Amino acid sequence: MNEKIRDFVVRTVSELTGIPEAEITADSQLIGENAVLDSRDLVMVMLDAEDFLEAEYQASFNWNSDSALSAARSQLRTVGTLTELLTSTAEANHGG
Amino acid sequence: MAAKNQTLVVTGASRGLGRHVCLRAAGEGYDVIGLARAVKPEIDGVRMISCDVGDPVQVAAAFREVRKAGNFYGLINAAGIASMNLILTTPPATMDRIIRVNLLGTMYCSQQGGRLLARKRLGRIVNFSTLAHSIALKGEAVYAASKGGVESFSRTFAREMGDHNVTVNCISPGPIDTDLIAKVPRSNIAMIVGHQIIQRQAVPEDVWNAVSLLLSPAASMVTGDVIHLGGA
Repeated sequence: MNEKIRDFVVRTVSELTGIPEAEITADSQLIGENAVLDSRDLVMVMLDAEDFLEAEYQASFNWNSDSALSAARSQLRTVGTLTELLTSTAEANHGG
Repeated sequence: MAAKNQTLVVTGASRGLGRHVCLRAAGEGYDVIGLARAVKPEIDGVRMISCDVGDPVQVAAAFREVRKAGNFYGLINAAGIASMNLILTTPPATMDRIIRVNLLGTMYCSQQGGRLLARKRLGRIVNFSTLAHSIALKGEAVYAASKGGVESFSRTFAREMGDHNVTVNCISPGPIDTDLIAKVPRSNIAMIVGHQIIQRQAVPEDVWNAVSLLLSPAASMVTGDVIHLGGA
């Protein structure tokens, strides 16, 4: 797991929710019944992630792609799965 | 008065209401970016970007340029087409084109513009409907349906964007003398105006006045609404 990306996700979720970073784990749920984010925060996480990937990895996440959106829906479940999604996106774009 | 250094994006900028809004907004001090398939003729003080709003790839590219320009504040979705025809004799390709430009074009631009405005947690989106939708105007079924879709989309999108301090409203004018209704007989126009509460055909400046009102800080609590010019 990319530590830089994990730190970004944890920091972003913490800033949006007010939950201390130390209490946010890979299993913290982002969507679903026990989610720590509401719909507004979820949108902000996605937009911030888009900016982060572009700034740090010159990588773009194409939200208009059906496959990307489908992947995002399933991989937005937790902090851990979102980190994996962003890592794979960064690596794919970096690898050309 | 418009705040300086605020960028407005106006679709359908090359002619009709879009062009008028561009001219007036630039005159009020907004930095205006016009989107249109044909970027000529140029408009003083307006940066034109070639874009078919019915093409999501072109829309995404255009809004990348908008983001670079900075200070994005408002989106005016003025692009629209019509083709007066009875539904029984309207070619499917025409139906597709009207829905694509009027409804999907509004959605594509709102999606891209909305993402930028959500980041700033401030902004305005103004869409366009039509009196033809309110009065179920015979011969305009596809056009009216596309604009009815825009009204429905606007009300729901307003709820989503309310989370981000962005207002979304619709302006619904009656017939205004632009290319859009150039082929509509005057008797028909008089009949349509007859449905309005104010029995006067609106002019482009009436539209700008409504747009200007919705852009103003005073309209920060106005969202999810449809303004019927002249009343309907």
